Amino acid sequence: MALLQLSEPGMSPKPHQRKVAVGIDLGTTHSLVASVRSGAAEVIADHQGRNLLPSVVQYSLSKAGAVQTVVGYEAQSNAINDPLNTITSVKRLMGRGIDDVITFDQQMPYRFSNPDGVGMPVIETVVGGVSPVEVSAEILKVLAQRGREALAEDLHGAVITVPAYFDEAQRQATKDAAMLAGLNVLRLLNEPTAAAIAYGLDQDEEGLIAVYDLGGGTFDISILRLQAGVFEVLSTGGDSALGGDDFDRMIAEWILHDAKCTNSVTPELSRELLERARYIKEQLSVHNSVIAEIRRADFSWQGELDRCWFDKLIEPLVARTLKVCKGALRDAKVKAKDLANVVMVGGSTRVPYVRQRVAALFDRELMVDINPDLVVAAGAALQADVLVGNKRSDDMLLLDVNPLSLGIETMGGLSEKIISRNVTIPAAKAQEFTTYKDGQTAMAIHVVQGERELVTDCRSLARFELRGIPPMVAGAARILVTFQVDADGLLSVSAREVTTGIESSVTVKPSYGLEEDQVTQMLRDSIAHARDDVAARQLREKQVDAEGLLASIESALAEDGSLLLSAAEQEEIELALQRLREVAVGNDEHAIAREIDKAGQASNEFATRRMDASIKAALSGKALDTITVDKEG
Amino acid sequence: MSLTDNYFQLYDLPQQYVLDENVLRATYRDLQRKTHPDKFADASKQEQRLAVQYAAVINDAYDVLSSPLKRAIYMLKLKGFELDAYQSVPMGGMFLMEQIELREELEQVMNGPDPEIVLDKISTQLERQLDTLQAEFLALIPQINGASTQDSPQMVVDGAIEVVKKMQFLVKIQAEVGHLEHELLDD
Repeated sequence: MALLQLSEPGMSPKPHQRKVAVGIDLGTTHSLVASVRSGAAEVIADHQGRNLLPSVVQYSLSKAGAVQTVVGYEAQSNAINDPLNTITSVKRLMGRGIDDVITFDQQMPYRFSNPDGVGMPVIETVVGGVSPVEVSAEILKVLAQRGREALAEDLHGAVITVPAYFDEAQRQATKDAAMLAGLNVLRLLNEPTAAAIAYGLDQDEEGLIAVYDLGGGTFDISILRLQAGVFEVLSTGGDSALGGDDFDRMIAEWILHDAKCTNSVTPELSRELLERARYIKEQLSVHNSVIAEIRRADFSWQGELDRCWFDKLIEPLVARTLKVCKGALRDAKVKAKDLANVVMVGGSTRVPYVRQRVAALFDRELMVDINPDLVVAAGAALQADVLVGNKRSDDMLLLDVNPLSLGIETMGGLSEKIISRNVTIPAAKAQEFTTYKDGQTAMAIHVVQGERELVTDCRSLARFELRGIPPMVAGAARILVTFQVDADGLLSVSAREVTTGIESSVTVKPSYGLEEDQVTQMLRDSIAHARDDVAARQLREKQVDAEGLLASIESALAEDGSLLLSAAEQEEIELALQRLREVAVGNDEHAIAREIDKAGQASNEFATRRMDASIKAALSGKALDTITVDKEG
Repeated sequence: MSLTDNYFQLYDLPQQYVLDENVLRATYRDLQRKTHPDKFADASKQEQRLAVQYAAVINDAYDVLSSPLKRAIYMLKLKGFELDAYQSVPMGGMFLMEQIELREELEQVMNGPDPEIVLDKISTQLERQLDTLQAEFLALIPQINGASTQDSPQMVVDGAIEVVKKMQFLVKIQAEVGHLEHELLDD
């Protein structure tokens, strides 16, 4: 414990000014949490000093019938004995539909069910059905707790990494899991971009780099330009179902074939085969050959395997990644020789054959000095530190891209691209629609993701239902629908009838994810489970929101109020703030919510003027207070 | 400066076809540094929403202004001439004949002896043609802006539309060449 705090003259220590934020790498095989402490990103280890947390969750029932979960190494060691209740590689199931999952069924020893027939499938366990989102939330909770203990403070927020090639549904599922774990998500950050931040800041590198990220279950390639603190993604590509798990599976299948096994494979055997396969893969990354065996009542096998055999086995998978790399180079309009460096990330880049082929493709030595397991979490921690304002944010700017084109279904089952892949996000596009029936007040828009022409070849994302269109004769209504992808890569849709200005309400029916009220319900259930008081927690959350809004508008008023607002306008905002202040100390959650909305509306024009003024300042390079602004807008 | 400004005003650039790419790029970064949602990660929901809207417009503006084709279409739109309303403007028989020949050449290229060399040749040819079209568009701008000319206003607009449609055509073929080049890499 620090008993004495030294400080420079004129710099009084402000212990609570620094906000605590973490970066989380939620991986297929293992997960990590990192934070910036004394200027550098550090991975936070558990009590035994272990950096990694295996992404494995085991469910069980206590004698009293309560649900128990074990996460990490202990769960991993139980996997072979209790395969149906021990969930591994859950990341592969995130944001997936029952059809996708059925193909995984052959590879994963779980029983899936799909109670609603639509939306997200669940895994049947001894405690009942658990969704991939809930399983991921268990992993996140452990990491968040690890962060809280190490930093001795409550977490202000977290940056969570996702594969760059994750689609919308997979991203949304990840964010839902974080919410369920009680985390404030500052940003979903693409894994290769996170690696580029950690690497770029560490090496002070400038120029073009490629990040080749082959993890346990996903593959990404991103081409970035690094210049003066700007990390600009030029293109990205990948395969969100290709990784080290697939290497293991190929080895396991080969063993089954080699043993001439004709019996049906039990879940226990399946798990043991995969465990052995992983051991063989890891051994062959450091040795030229390995002797391995499996001795069970229902199965017995022994063999000596060498690297040459392994290389041949995984060749088709590695070739797939190389093809994606070529596409990314082409999309970025960059030649391999223009790259300053190729950074290797993810545990599967330890496989010598992967390195060999990637080095040959890019015709250079690869950057393999950094620990491929830790770099993503470190980058996420650095970004989190900037986002909560601990670091001067002018120093760093991240410009990422949309990985897959978003389109809408048009006549004849074709997809019309609205927001193309590799455009910089945030991105927005507006499209006008009309009604085809007299008095029509609702319409549905089917949004798909993917590059193919036919809707059936793309991935269905969601159906947006617009309601509240003013009744008019067919074809007279002009409904302007705006599709927006935010900095997390998440889509939102808003709609307005142009001639009347009437906003339509938009409800989302996600094809694979959870609907918003389902997430709320899960949150309620999980809180209830923890015997927490739901109402008290929700009230507290609203109060925190109110305090945040008050603080932000007050400081904005102090800075630019007299410059950008007339006296009457200032007064109006002050009045709204006063009302909010009054209800915020009370217990009426709904009143607080109402006054938050009103204060937001009252200050909307002010916020817009501030944004405009800051743009003007950026263009003229002048300080804000030297600019004259037309107060009438 | 506000979101309702046109993209040239938003970037504080003169409304002209020729622009300095370095200035455009530098301005893009300056604007992003002010409006990117990462700068508002800890701000109120309202400011976060605004940041997403502003950053999206600034991104789209950069996309439009940095592309000679999109910039041309945008300039015509600002003058009130939406490309979609001029679908009937012809591109000229000569041009179409040339393009049909080019397309036929492209279809054969993968079966020919030296696809890479042929694709390179076509690429260079397309770039030259696009340069010429851009120069033609540039020359038409004073007339679009109302400079006196022997041609009727209708003829001036049709002329500009024709040039832009030709550009669009060539850019599409460029993309196809790109696809073929990519296929070659896989072999």
